[in-house]
Amino acid sequence: MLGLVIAGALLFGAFVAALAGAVFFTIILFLITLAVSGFVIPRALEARAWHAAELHLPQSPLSLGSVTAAEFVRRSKKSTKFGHPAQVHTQLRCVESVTYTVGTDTRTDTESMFEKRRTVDGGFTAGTFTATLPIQIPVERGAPTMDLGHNEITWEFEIKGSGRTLPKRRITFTLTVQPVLAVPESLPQDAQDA
Amino acid sequence: MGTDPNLTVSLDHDIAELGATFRGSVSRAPVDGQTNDQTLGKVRAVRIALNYATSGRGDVDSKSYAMVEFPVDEYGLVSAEFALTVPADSPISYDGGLIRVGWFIEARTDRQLATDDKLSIDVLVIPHNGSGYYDRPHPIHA
Repeated sequence: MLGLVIAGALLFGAFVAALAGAVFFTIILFLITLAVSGFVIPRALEARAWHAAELHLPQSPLSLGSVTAAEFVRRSKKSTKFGHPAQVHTQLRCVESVTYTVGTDTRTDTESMFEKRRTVDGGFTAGTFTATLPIQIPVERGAPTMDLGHNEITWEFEIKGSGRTLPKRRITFTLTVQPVLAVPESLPQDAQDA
Repeated sequence: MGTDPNLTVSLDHDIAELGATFRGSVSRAPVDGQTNDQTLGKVRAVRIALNYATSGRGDVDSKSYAMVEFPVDEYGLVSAEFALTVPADSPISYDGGLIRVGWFIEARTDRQLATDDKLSIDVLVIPHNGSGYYDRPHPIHA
């Protein structure tokens, strides 16, 4: 709601600036309005129709080499019957992020150490979409979650709806991977090869 | 900062899981029968600490843990055993794309009115349950 108010105020400002003949200022305000609207409107529409996305992990934090299945839940606020098939696209990523100083500037670099994409079918029951999403933390790529100050490693699990019913906006969940190796003898071969 | 030719550090193992302990011994021989007071830069103590430091593109993050101090006798002699425990919530040894985390045990000869000497030994800190699996920093590429 606040975003819509801000977008409205910006649009009003652009209108006033146009009436005053300030062309450059009008263009700038109009572009800012477009950017704010592009960010706010999809979220506002989504919030009208859907509750916040939920991800339920059977175990947390995860371990190196662990294989698990998370449950993704998206509850609709409408009583519409959903007959369309629905899928979600997932992406599991391990990202290194560093900050460093050059002169008086502080810069940040990131590098993805591991990425795994999947497409998973789900189903609607009484207006609630659920999907079981496999999550496999590799032993031989990525690293445990850590934040040392200037050097950080994070795990992100990104979920995006597909089909006619689910919202298309990407939702990112942060996972915690602890520095524990799943017992080596019990590791599936594909977990080590992932 | 230089090295102390009379200082020796040996470790039982150079790999430890998080929460486990590095054990070893430190010894310092006297200098040609001189008493410590006759030595230039009198040795006050020998200190041992477990440290990590990052390297790579980012600014350096480092931390020192579990420092132990051994006083020297009148000849500057030390002969002692030590145990340094790796905190369970510390980072593991890591060799990634932008980030490397290296662990080392550092012995310092604390000298009065002189620059300390130091001796550094690289060690490997591995995840819980990682014994027998790791022989180098995480991750071990196939």
